[in-house]
Amino acid sequence: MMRCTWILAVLLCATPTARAQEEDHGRNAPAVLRMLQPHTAPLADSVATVLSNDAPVALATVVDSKGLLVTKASELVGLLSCSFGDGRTLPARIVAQDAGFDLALIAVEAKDLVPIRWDAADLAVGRVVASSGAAGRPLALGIVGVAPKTVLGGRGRLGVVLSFESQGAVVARVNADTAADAAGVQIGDRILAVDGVPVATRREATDAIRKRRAGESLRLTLGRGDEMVLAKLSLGRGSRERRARRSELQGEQSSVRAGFPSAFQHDTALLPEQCGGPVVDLRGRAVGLNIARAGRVATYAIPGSRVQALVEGLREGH
Amino acid sequence: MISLLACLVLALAHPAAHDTPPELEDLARFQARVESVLEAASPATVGVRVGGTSGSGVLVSSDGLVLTAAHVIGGAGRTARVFLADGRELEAETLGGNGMRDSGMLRIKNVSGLPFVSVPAPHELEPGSWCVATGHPGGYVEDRPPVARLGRILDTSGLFLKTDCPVIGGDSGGPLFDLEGNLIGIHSRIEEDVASNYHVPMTTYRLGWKRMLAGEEWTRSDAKLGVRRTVDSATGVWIGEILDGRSAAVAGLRPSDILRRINGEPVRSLRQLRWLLSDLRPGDEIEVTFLRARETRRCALTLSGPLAPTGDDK
Repeated sequence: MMRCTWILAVLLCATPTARAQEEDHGRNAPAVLRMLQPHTAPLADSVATVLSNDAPVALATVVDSKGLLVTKASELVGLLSCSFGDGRTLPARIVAQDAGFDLALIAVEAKDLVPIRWDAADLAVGRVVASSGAAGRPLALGIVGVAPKTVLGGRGRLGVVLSFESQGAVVARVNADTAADAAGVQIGDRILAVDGVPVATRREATDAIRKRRAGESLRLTLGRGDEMVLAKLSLGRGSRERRARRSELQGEQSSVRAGFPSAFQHDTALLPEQCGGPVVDLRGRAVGLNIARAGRVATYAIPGSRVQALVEGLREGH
Repeated sequence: MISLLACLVLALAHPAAHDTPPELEDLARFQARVESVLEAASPATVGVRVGGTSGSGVLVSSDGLVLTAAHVIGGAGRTARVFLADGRELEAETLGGNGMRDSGMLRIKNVSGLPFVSVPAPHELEPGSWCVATGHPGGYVEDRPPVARLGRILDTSGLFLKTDCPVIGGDSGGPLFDLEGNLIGIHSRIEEDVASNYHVPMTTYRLGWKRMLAGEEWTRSDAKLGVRRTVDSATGVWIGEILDGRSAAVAGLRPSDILRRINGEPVRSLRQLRWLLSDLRPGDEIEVTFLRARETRRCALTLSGPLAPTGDDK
């Protein structure tokens, strides 16, 4: 009885004020964000919100005044537009993509955007960083937890179900929105070889594909009727339904959150739709681009120097 | 800590954009402190594997004594593997701990010259102070050094220290530091909210040190001060009644004394007093700091055991 009363008393009198106090004391308290403001504010005209069918799915960072931005490729589905700090919302289209980094170059009809200048600053562990939201609003503070390195992907997935009735590897189903779907694999196709190495059975085909990680590219030799078809594809992370976006303790995560050739890990708590924007250091330099929220303790960002090289590559290739 | 907060507040008071704004200077100092904490913290942070459990720990002596969480070691006398920040894998043996407070120890076998951090003397922790965590989220991974994270202290009044420094499974047992580089906690548990992370405060390691070293495992204690009718206050625990012949009476404490510290560990509530006593045993001699008529005094006190029939004293 005593104990019950005591707990109740604590709940009644302590909870609301304790909450408010904790928010004031938190790492992203209003006072902290106000301090970061001067460092992200100069990016006001360089960060836009990407809308997919009018819902925000990512941020995009301006890389060319004539309407080019970079953003997170895997979030781009449906009708795309970019909403800018000055109130404009412009239709956007995908120009080029890098599957490994999950980076996309998108274009809008504009001539007066303010491109960001990427910085090749040293990203040592402990470096304090701020993530910019749309219109240069500081989202949150963090520190570099792991210096840039390869973030290995999970097991690569083709996105097909193979027939159990056949000795060979015969496609019985192609899941929507997967690597196989994108490469035009069809029901009834027989997988004859993986990267030129012949596979005779269902087991051999699965073994050959399972060894590969998400993001890796693959050549499939398919038998379709009397024809032989070559399919080039980049292994995915499985169908959308398969990817759990949320687990209780990990929180909201990006669907594509691994398999990056180079990324640094920081501890800034972002929402998946806050990826695609720049990370600045305490001198206001754009040292990276947030590419994935990967659980409770990790956000991955591509180092600034890599983003610059990737953007140049994507523009040339286009 | 307090000075850093002062910096933040000062910086906010000068939002004007000069060539070198004052807040930038302060943030640069902040940056330097975080990096200097990690310089010492990272090499002393280890990965721990006991049976099927993966956790973290922190070296507190050059000859391989590691502080961790009780739920990581799962009992004394077990074989453990320890993964140093430099990639070495060493064999260790688990020692004791307080299961209720989740404090535990282990010792790496036959080793010397390891990097370590010291366990600081008792000091006050203020909500709002910044802190830095290291550990191995998801368990030790080869080629990945201990992962650094930042946060602030949210609550110091509970059984655990609460921060918004994000940790997750595998970090358990890893260290939390203030920006002076003091070891202030060991990661223990989390709630769904990313801002609800709980760390074992250092009090339990300081008070239970010898018992842990000796491989003792415990969750509670019969140790009593021999006081009753207490009231929590901002300055400490106000004592209403002193029980005849019990330890507080023998030590010379009087009604209306305000209990402030036990062995230097601050006491602000009866709950905290109980948690501190959980690491001590009847017969232990402790130093009590108390306030009498606004004057701070100290005395030695030998803890009593339970009161025989209806003992509801503390």
